[in-house]
Amino acid sequence: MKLQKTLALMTLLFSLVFSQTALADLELNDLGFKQEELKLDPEIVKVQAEREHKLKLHQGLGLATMAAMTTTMLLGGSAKSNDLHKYAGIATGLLYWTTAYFTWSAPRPDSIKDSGSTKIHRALSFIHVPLMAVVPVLGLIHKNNDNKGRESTGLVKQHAGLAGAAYASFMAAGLVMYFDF
Amino acid sequence: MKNLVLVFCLFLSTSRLHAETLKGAYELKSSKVDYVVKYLIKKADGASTKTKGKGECSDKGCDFLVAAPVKSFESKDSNRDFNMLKATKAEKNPMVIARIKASAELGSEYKSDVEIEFAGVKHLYPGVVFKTTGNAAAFHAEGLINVSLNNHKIEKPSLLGVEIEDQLPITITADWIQRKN
Repeated sequence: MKLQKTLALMTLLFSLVFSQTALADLELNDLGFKQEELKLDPEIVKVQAEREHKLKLHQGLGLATMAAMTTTMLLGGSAKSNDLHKYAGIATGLLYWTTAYFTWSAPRPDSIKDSGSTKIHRALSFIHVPLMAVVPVLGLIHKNNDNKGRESTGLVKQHAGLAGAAYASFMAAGLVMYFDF
Repeated sequence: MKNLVLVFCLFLSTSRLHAETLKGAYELKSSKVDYVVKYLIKKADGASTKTKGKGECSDKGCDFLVAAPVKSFESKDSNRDFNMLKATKAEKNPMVIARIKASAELGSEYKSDVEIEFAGVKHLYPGVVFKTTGNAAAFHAEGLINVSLNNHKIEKPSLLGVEIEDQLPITITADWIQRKN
């Protein structure tokens, strides 16, 4: 009986030692990864939280701007008869520039290069940013002209067309993040 | 009747030939790990080819170890890759590790239990089928694992407040060669 117990114990010990040896053969360290292959760029680690926070705000405000801009465009037809288009435009402008602030101020490590949807998103900003700087000013002049009964000419007359271009490029910049074209 | 027996014997012998017995140490010649992230209205995929691995086979079965640095995964969008580092806590857990347990009998459909360590949390995915070609000296294996982000306690990234789907299909493609002593 004692011999049986000793044998069972020895078998158990042997199997334990054997299984440990087998496992030891498949250790991660043996795969030969170098530290630089695994370690994150310290700059990325440093700015990760701040960048994520600011880009989340950029996302949320961007959606609000899309809604406000659509409303402004829809109210464009009644711009001469009331001030709703003007006020919607002011709200859109405020939202737009706040949205832009959060992406411009988000820290961007050098190792991050734009690609894919982000690259298109950023490229479209070269169209809508200058337009959004000009269109509200043109709108204001246009409205003043209307109030004074004067005909708008030149670039001011193009307010609607330029606003349409700003709207199209801004919406495309937003939608490209949600759809794969 | 004799012919039928002959055909049956031939079938048995060919199927027996197809099942190769793996033995000894295996090296990962080349490999690729792909993932698919599902958003509400779009899918995005990424991959890493910076994987390393090894295997050990005996009569009792095979153990394979495959690992890839989290930062080596690239999708078509640099921002998505950046966000993935944060979501998967890559600073503390820089590797995605797959520990595969299977029998030593290599068939065209190689059933195995895969333990995935992702974001520092291990989870066992039993019964993963790898489709294989080749023989005991060198074989190609490809398998799909439906990884659940919840299983690995990964906070799901969101796009405008809508979280990505919990299921993250991961495909492991690997070419193994038997190490010659």
